[in-house]
Formats: sequence, structure tokens, C-alpha cells
Amino acid sequence: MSEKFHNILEINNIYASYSASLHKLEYVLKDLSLTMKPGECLGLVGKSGSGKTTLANLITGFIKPISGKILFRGQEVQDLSLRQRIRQFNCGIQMVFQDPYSSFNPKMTIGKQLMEPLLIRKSLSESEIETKARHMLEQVGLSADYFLRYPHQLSGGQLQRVALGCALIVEPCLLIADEPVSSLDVSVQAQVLDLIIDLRKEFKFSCLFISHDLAVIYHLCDTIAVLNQGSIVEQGNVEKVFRNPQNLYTKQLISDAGYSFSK
Amino acid sequence: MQNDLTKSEYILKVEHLKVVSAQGAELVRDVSLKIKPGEIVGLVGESGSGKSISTMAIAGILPEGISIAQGNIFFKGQDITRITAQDRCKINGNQLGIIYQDASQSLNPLIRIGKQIDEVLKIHTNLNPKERRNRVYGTMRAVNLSDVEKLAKRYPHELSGGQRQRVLIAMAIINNPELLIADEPTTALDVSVQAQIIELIKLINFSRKTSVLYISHDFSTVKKLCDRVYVLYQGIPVEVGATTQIIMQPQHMYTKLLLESIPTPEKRGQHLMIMRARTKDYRGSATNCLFAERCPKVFERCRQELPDMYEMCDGHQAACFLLDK
Repeated sequence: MSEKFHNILEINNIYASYSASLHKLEYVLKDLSLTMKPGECLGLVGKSGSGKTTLANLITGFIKPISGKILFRGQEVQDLSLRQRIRQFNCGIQMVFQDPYSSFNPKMTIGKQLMEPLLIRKSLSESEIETKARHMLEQVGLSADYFLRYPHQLSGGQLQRVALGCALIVEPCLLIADEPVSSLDVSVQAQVLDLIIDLRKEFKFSCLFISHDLAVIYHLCDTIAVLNQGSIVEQGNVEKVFRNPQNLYTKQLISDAGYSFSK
Repeated sequence: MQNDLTKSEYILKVEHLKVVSAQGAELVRDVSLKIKPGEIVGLVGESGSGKSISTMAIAGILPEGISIAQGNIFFKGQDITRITAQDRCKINGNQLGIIYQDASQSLNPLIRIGKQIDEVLKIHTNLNPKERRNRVYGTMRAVNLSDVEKLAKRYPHELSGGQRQRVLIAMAIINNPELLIADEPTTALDVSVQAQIIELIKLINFSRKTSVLYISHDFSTVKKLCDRVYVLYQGIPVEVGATTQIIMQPQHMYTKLLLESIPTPEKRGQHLMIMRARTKDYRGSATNCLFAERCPKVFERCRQELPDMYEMCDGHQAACFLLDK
């Protein structure tokens, strides 16, 4: 595609709500705007209930906004159905979820689940897809014999690797990772973070990384957006925001996390 | 009996505890730990290291099929390893308070908050309803819940995660226990609430002189809270010491690598993991150092014998042959 766009993702004045009645709306997201440049890794932080996951679901199209625009690669996508999105962008947005155990079909082998996203798209032959899936398994650091295993035979960290593989196999330009390391042990978390760093170099995707762990955000992201009660209260370069937070809420968050700099 | 001597010295003393499953797998291999009155002790380890099973054994709430094979647990000098359910009832909820990890699953969804907190008093005290109500409100205020009269009439689903965790803490401390066991009380909460709960546990420890056994896999909270730390690896403590000693000068390779895998400002964007991944949980009895398969400094002896605890300086011990001089 040759259309021009500055930002890979642009969200303009979005409002979202889960309430059923239009007369009594309780907004989860209020007048939220956000932009992401190609190749950028944006960390989205906020308390539970601040609307982080709602924002992710809006971008992927699982829910529709009340009003506002979402531009993905310069095109409005907020009204497109999931099917239309696949047709138009070959699914340029992929997602990794928090709980690896509930993200997989327990009755399907790992290999089959890695192949699934490509099988749906029908652009390659089955043998080509299998070669790609086996290669992907290797890239996320798992040996070939995991191809025929079932999800229950893998640990949480290994499953989260496969989840990353499933998302990246269609070569998306935007990966949304919703708390991908929150349910993992420190050492396993470190392995998955290392993997994300390697994969970003390899695949060059933009990444919206949602987490409540500021240390992880600082480690991984270029920019940060702080969400409080459905609005973005501060956005900017990670380094700048951490060293010199402007917003009161951001200050509180950083001091609660006990994050201190040596300098 | 023979343990009268230790009575005043330790609130809790666990000696060579071994917990096995019905299939014979060793979930906890050889855990010994001591808690002095007023001390906050941390138990740190990865999932599968046996930290939760150890605390379940201490509280006498091991799941079906899992049992204590060896070792003794002394609570205030009394052996509570194999006591009857009746005797257990006199201890749990009274002298021993427990806070569980998942607050939303630990409360009965059909009973109002106030009544659930009151239940502990009903069982363990002879107070009349009015005294009990005052005590419930008082304890709720003590855990920083506001508007307690209203809150007591609510159901668990009407509370936020942080509030529910506070209610659980209120239930655990209402009878002024001498030991409080907190099994990962902050993992399900976000940073701000996490910080508040840690402060609250500190306050309870300070104002009520309650000893605390704090279980976590998160070094950042352990650092803020604990006086001493036990690092557990596959059912065996590999390092014991004061929190500052463990964090500033870890001696066991496992502790060192575990601390290195935490993201810090200095390591931004770099690889964190130098520890080899765990291949599979070994469930037989330990005949050699269990960390040998992942240790970068492994040598012949590690694969042949099980290391003892070597003492460096006052109370700082680690089970590693590298320290054997």
C-alpha cells in the first residue's frame, strides 16, 4: 500500500462506554487522544479501572466507540468490522493477552495454533504455512518438539512465547500487548522481556505495551502515556516523564512504584 | 516438654519440614525457618518453589492428598504439626491470622462484609453483639477503611480490590494474632494500592507487635517490608539473611541471578536474563544441588552432593559449595 501516513495510529477525541442505555452514559474513556509513530513502543500505564484494556479493545475493534476517530495507517477504522479489517490490512493489528493459559485452545496442538492465523488468510499453501510456523517457533526460542505439544504441557512463560509467535506470524505493523508479563515470575518475566526486545529488532513492529509495572515500561518503551479515569494525563518520552513528571497523578504513580534513579 | 526453652524465643519454628503429594512427589523438601516475636520474615521464590505449600502446612490447611512426611512445626513452643482439627480451630483465626492472595475468592459473596468479619469474633470470643460490633468497626478503621457503618452492610462484589484486601486483613487481625501469614497479598493489586497495603502491614506489625510471614515472588515489596528473607528454590531454602544483606550482597548464584532479572533504570533496553531456563521440575528427593542445572558456575561437586548452609556473617547463610572454605 502506498498511502501516506505520519502516525501508525492516531486516536482523536474518543469516547467509550459499556452502559446499555444511551440516556445515562458512564464514560470509561473520555475525550481521549493519542498518537503513535511507526516503530515506536508506547507504554500505557494506569490503575486498574482506568480504561487501559478498553482502549486496547477499541483499537483492535472488539468494541466500538460512542464517538471519535481511530486512524490506523492514515485510514479511519473505528466503524470497520473485524472481517473488513482483515481484508483491508491483512490484520495489521495483533494482540497478546495477560493470561496465557486462557489464550489457547486446550484441544489444539501448539503448531496448529501457530498456523491458524495464516490458514484463515488463505494466502499460502499449507506446507508453506507449516514451514513458517516451525520457523516462528524457533524465533520465539522454543525447540521443534513443542510443535506437536498441547498447551497444558507448557509453562506460563513458554505459552506467552507462543502467544507472541501467533501474533507476529502475520507480520503485523502494530502489536498490542495487554499486561503480557504480569502473571509471570521475575525470572520468566525477564526471559519474555528479552524476547520482546529481540523480536522488535527482527520484525520492526510498533508496540502498544500495557502494564501497571513501571519498571517494565521503563525497560522496554520509548514513550509513555499515563491514563487516569479515562483520560490521558501525561504523555511523552519515557526518560523525560520518569525523571521529571509534570502531572500530579504521574508523580504519585512513580513514587508509589518506589522508582528512583541513581543520578 | 523439651520445647519449653524455645517458648519465648520464637513465635514460629519450622524444623526440616518435608511435604509430599499422594504420588510421592516432594513439594517441600527440607524447610527450616524461625520467626522471632515482632519480626517480619519474607519467603521468596518462583512458582513451584514450595512457598505456598509451606505456609499451608504451617496453617494446617494442606489440600487433600498432600501431607507432611517429616519435620516439626512449633508455634509458640507448641508442636502443631499433627494436631486435631479442634485444636487447630483454637489457633487459626485467633493467634494465627492468614491473608490469602485472591481477595475476591476468599470472601463469601452472599454474606455482608460486617457479618463476615464478625464471624471470627463469634467463634473465638465471648463478647456480646454490641461489643463485637464496636470491635468490627474499630478494626475496619484500623485497616484504613472509611465510612465503616455503610461499608459493613455491603456485599463483597460492591467493594474494590483494594477494599476487599483490607477487609481480609481486618478479619485476620481482629483477634490480635501473634503471627500473621500473608500469602502474596498484593499480587492482584495495582502499584498504588500495593504500596498502601504494604504500609498497612508495616503499621500492624508496629502497633500490635504482630510477627509477619510474608510470601512473595516480588523483591520490590519484600525490600520495603521484611527484616529477614528466606529464598526458596525447589522446596529448599538456598539463602537466608537480613533483607539488606540479601539484596546488597547476595551470595547464592540463584539469588544473584533472580535479583539481576528485575528491570532497573541502568539496564534499560538490555537483556536481563542470563539464567538458563528451568527444564523441568524435579520431584524426587534431592541428592545434589538442585540449582546445578541452571548455575553458570557449576562444578563437579555440585552434581554429587547436596550443599549445606554455609554461614558468612551474623545470620547470613547460603547453600552453595562456592562458599565452602
